[in-house]
Amino acid sequence: MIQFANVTKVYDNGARGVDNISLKIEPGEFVFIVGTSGSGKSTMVRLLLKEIEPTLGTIIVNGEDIGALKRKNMPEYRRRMGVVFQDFKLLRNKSVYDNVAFAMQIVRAPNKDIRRNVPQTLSLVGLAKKARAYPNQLSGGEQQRTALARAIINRPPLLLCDEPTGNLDPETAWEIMYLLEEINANGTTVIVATHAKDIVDGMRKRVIGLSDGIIAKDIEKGYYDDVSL
Amino acid sequence: MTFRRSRYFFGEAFAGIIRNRLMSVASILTVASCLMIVSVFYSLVTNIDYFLQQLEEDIGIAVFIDNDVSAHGLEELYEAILQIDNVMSVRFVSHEEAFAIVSEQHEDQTILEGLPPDTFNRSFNIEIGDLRYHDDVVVALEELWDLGIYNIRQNQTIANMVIAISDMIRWSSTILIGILAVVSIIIITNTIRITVNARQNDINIMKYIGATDWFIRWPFVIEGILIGVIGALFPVGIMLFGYVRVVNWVQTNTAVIEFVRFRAANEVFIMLFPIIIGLGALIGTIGSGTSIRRHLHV
Repeated sequence: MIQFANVTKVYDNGARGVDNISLKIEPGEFVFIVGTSGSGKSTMVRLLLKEIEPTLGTIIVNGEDIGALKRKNMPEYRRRMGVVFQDFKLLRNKSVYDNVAFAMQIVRAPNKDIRRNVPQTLSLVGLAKKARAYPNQLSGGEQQRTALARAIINRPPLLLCDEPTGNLDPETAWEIMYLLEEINANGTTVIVATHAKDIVDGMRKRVIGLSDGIIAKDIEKGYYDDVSL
Repeated sequence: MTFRRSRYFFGEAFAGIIRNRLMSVASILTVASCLMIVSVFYSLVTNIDYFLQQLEEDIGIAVFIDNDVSAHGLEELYEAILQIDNVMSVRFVSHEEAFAIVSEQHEDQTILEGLPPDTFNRSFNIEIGDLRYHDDVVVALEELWDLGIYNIRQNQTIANMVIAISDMIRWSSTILIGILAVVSIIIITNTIRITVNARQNDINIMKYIGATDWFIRWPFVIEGILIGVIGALFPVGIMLFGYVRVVNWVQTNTAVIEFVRFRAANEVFIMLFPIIIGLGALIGTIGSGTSIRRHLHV
């Protein structure tokens, strides 16, 4: 489903985000990408999000070379993946309900579907009672659950999470991880870039370790220390 | 754009205006100020143009006729003059009328006493459609000399001066209104850019989720148009309230121009209001469109 073939990203300042990495992620997998700050985790997420372009190499998602994607087709590409960020990235002027509904509005979902699916998804992430609240009225965990609800509302085949628990306390972080596990159990491919050792060790999923932009190790049901250098 | 989408975009646009009410008010006042200057200047120019038109009507050509031309000859000459291009109207002035005009111009009537009624030549007073063709009409008249023309009185110097002033005002007004429109666009672009910058984060988020450029752009464009049109309504209101009052005041208090007429309010407004509101909408569209463009590359 996702394939990186000899992908290198060199930034304008000469720094190498990733250096000649190759990997495959099959549909329905749950994968942790781990590594210290600057190891290349976020570069991988940004490449998949097509926020940046690889300097060399090819990235294939769902059989499509995303390097060949035209700008006008980017919205369509991004709608096929859900994204969760460390800083939640919620629209501050919209309520929880409207933040989640927004993802359906941009795909021109009918109003009746929006009215039906948004409350369902908010219930799934435990925010049914917070639908009318605004992001600044929510805790970090609630904000991340809102972001998660928004990411999955259109049932994308791929969920991309960049440090999703980075701003959360351990208990809330686990709640989010259980939600991700549940989403993955329903068939969604989940990729989580993180440096949360406890989470990685507790989940026992595939772990890809990055160091200085190269894949140091790639272990099925691994521990954080298995891949750290 | 479907009705449902339009409703969403307009809702977002209104919400944007209210959310950033301080910047919105600043933008509206900026547009209002610029368009007020355009309105005042337009009113001035259109009236000066109108004064010149009135002046043009007075700058005619007089063709004096030999006394021995018969009634049939007069008719022939009249028809020939009417055939000349750009001649608007021809009016015959008889010996008696000419005598009366001259006697009106002289307080001392004794100098006219005893003069026969045919002392002053009959004439045709010719009104030209456009002063630019004054010389052409004179040349054409000179070709009719054999039909009994005694003299041609023309106002070439005054005509050229009026044409020059008229051209200068038309060109300078076009240039000035153009400059004001550009200045307004620059100011409104910067004002809206501040609003857009404040919402850069929201734009990025929308892009990450998969919103198209136009889905993001429409609310901003509509917001810009609304700001522009609301801004335009201020000068429209002020002009509606003030134009007739100012004209009345000028006519009452300024003796110098009591002999000229001002354009009627409805004649000014019928052109001005669509221009101002259209310009407001255009300024808003260009301002918001250019402000948001560079923010969409995420």
